[in-house]
Amino acid sequence: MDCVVELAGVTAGYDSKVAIEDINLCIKERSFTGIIGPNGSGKTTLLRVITGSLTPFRGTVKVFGHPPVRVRNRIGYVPQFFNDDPYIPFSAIEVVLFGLYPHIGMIRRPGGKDVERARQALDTVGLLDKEKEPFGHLSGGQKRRVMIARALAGDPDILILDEPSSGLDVKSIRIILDLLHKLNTERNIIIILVTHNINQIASYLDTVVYMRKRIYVAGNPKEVLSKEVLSELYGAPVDVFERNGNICVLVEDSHA
Amino acid sequence: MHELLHYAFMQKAIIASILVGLTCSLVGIVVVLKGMSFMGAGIAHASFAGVTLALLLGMEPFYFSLIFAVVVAIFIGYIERRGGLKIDVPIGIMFSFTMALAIMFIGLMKRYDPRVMNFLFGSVLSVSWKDIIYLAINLFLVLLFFILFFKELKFVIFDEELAEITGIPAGSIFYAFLILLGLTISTSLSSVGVILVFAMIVIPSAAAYELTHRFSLMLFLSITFGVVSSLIGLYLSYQFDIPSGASIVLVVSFFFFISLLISPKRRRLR
Ligand SMILES: Nc1ncnc2c1ncn2[C@@H]1O[C@H](COP(=O)(O)OP(=O)(O)OP(=O)(O)O)[C@@H](O)[C@H]1O
Ligand SMILES: [Mg+2]
Repeated sequence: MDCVVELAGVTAGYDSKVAIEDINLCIKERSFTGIIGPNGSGKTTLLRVITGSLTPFRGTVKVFGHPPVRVRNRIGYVPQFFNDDPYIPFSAIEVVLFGLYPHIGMIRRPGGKDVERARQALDTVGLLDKEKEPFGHLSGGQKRRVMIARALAGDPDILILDEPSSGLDVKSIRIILDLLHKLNTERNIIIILVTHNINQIASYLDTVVYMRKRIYVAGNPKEVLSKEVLSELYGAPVDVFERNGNICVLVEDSHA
Repeated sequence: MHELLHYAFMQKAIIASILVGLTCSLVGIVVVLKGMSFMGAGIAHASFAGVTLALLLGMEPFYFSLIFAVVVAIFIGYIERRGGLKIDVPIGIMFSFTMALAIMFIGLMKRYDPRVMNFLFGSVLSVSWKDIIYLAINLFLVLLFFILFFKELKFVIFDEELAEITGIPAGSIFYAFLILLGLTISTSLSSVGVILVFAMIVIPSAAAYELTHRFSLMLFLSITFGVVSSLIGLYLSYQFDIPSGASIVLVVSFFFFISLLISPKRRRLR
């Protein structure tokens, strides 16, 4: 069992509309994968299939060798969009506690130990001081960090994040990325994330997947994020250069 | 006031008001937080079609209203969960469809049945012990549901898909809730009526929602508003000889407007 997440010939979508087609993907132990692609290219759909919340029309999905729904307690998921009711009557810590429910079990109530675990998770994203704050009162970036803490609280083996950097300031992104890097290297948590923010994230990744309904290229960032490959994929001249070990992708100005 | 309590009809009315106030305001929390108020109105009208069909056939209205309410609740819930279509469109269609059915059934009656008006507007002063037993069973089921699945319900309110991904049986919880919502609406019809049952579900929670950011406090406030306004409304109804459904809803609406005025949430916006 070499692949922790394995998709074979997966086609999925909504009603009769196909959003992703013939996807073959193997995500290995200890890997840190970034999925990129234009809006509407099926990135979120792909993650939905991996988490088991969307059943594919065709093909098979295995996570740790099982159908995803059987291993949900090992998956931490941070959605692209989440509750935006400004008056939703839950505090930050309550939202983080949601992540522990599968461990607590049905019917039983969270106890002191669970609250302690939730507080720890909130501390890792630097928001312990906001634990009592109503979720709706937090800023967009703070909410996203609470959602990351929620996914972490359950102690997942795989962490799946849809656009974790969207709405976050540069420093918060750095903090989250360093945290993900640490979880990946020290606790061997497999990370899969979707991002539009290639420049800041590329240097953390060991695999980049470029998709547009299908997977076009997948591999080492140095190979995928090359001038030739990207220019062809985006259909516009793209410049790629390295600086202090970071990969920078620049779409050339058409007015230049 | 004292001698009032000796009348059997008044005792029944008081018990029924408390039961309706409790149950409706509890389920209302989920309805308000999940933004399903319009759905509540749709289910109430559907159950009215059931009532009129039963009266036309000379059968027991409760079972018919229950079946109509539950079927429509599950149908609308299914469309909501499937996503895509804007939910107000199918609800609106069901709303008019079931109303048309009800009007047709009334039209088909050989002689107009005066109970139609009772179910439309409710009359808590004429509830029977049987109505009360149904209400009590319903409250027991709703309480059991809230106690057993309290934390899961919170997660489902926050985000159904995420709850499902996390391993919570969100779909089953949502449908179980819809069945309880249908049950609550059909058991409450005899006392508050089709048109006002929706108000009893939505308004106490909406008032509570204005006042707090804490879920447990919101539950407590909603129940308090529901029960207190039922009792005050009942008293006013008897005292001034006005229909009980109307006086109860007027009182609960009054609570809502007060909440809106003193809401700490709105204050920032001014
Ligand atoms: N719930 C839905 N019902 C119907 N179609 C959908 C639904 N969600 C997404 N789609 C469609 O599926 C396709 C892929 O959407 P998806 O959300 O996976 O894209 P994405 O790559 O995540 O985009 P973005 O970068 O904007 O987040 C799009 O064409 C979209 O319109
Ligand atoms: Mg997306």
